[in-house]
Amino acid sequence: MRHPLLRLACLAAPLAGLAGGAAAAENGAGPEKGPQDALQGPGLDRARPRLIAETASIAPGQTILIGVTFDIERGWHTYWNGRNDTVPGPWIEFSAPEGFEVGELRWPAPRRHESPGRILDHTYEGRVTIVAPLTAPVDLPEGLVGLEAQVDWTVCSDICLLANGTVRLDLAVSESPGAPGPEADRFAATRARLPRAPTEADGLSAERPADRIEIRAPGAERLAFYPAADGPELGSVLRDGAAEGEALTLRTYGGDEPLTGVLEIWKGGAANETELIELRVTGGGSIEAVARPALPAVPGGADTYNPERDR
Amino acid sequence: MFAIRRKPLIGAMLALGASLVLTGAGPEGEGVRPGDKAPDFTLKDVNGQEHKLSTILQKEETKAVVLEWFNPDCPYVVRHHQKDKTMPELAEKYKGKGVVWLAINSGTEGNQGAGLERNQRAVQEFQIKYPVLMDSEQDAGLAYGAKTTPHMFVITPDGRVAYAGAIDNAPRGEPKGDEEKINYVERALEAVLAGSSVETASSKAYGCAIKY
Repeated sequence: MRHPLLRLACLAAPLAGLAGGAAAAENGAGPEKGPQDALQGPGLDRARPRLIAETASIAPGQTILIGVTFDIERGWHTYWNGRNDTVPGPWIEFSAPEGFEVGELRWPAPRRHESPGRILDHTYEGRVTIVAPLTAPVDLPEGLVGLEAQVDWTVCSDICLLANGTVRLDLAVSESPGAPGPEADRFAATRARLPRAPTEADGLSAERPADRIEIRAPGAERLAFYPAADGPELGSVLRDGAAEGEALTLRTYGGDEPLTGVLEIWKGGAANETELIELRVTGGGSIEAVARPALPAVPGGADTYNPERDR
Repeated sequence: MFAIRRKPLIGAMLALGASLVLTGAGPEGEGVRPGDKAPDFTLKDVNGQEHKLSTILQKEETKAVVLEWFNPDCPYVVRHHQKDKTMPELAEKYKGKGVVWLAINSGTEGNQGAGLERNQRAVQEFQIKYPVLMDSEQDAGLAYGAKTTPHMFVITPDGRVAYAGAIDNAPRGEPKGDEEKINYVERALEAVLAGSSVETASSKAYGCAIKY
């Protein structure tokens, strides 16, 4: 904070964050504590989770998205569950009553977050919702379904704070598939940042000589690669994880373990939209999709999802 | 934004360049890796006593050296020192076996947990029985590529890095799912003391970022 203007910005930021929080609360989608949540730790003041559902109710046999959504104070960030230099992503474990199935967690693509000089993490700011599919049993009586998630997270600015606990949601049962719930916009934002599988049209290729992995995306102006937590040891994701142009080269020390992660591709153009592709580079240098179950359909049909508004 | 340095920038860069050439740190952005020569350093502890790594390694009674990057206000460090007693108990267990344990704080003025006074207090608060070295110029941190607190390095008597990474596989305090809790430093020390190779020579460190 050496410059007077920066100093003002640092003062203004927390006030703006509070204002944003108040506005969100007015819309009913704000960061108030759920009535049955049991949460603790200093991190709770900076990033607060809630358990939410994409629909207002669930029908027998229906699959919907549920999620843990965080409201993160401005100037603070939480972490993606992939490879970070410092802090791992939050621990999230859903539980639902007997007969329900909760599928695997899906994480929206993060942003690269560089700490002065040496450190690269992948983080979220503002709001983030980590989702999973929930499938109701076919014989589902009327009433409320009690859902829970155990959450354990770290939120940092230039210091880090921990927090943990349980978030809860009582979800109504309906005869027909539920309409979009009050937090459907948070799910739309996540859907817009979930990576898809590579297609032939993408034209992606990779090369894997002994000590590096090169990924090529024809037509790209800029690339970034967000590696998953497992896989070969990489030299420096800070140095190698972003590149101008059509190719990105990661130094590795890892032999031929497959490397999984998310490739973000900027192609220029006015909208500043990017492609987000989840892929695996095999030991032999082939690019494969990572098998993921299809997401449930957006509730209420296509006209409730606006890519411009909801990104 | 970079930390404000007290000495002129050019002088700092020359010093850094010199220390990197002499200490053999890895390519830009990478830390030392298992098998690398451990960079030498001379640092003062919170009582003003100097500790030089090469001198420690030259002593016949030294069977291994453990470096523990430290920040007394980082919640991960606090949990290990106050609640789980991970480092204190391990340091005590191996003290009689010739293992020299050194904590290093690479925080600069104004950073969380930095400064002589704070670390002198931390030694009392946590009852730390091994030296806490002050690396406020951050040369040792940069030379090793220490990124987090804690960040652990195990060094053999002939000055090689035998292990680099996390203290254990449990950033939350408990390992994931059904995994057993593994203390990587303990396993590395057992191997080094037995003269055998370290099975897990590196792991992903976790903790609060060191602010360079």
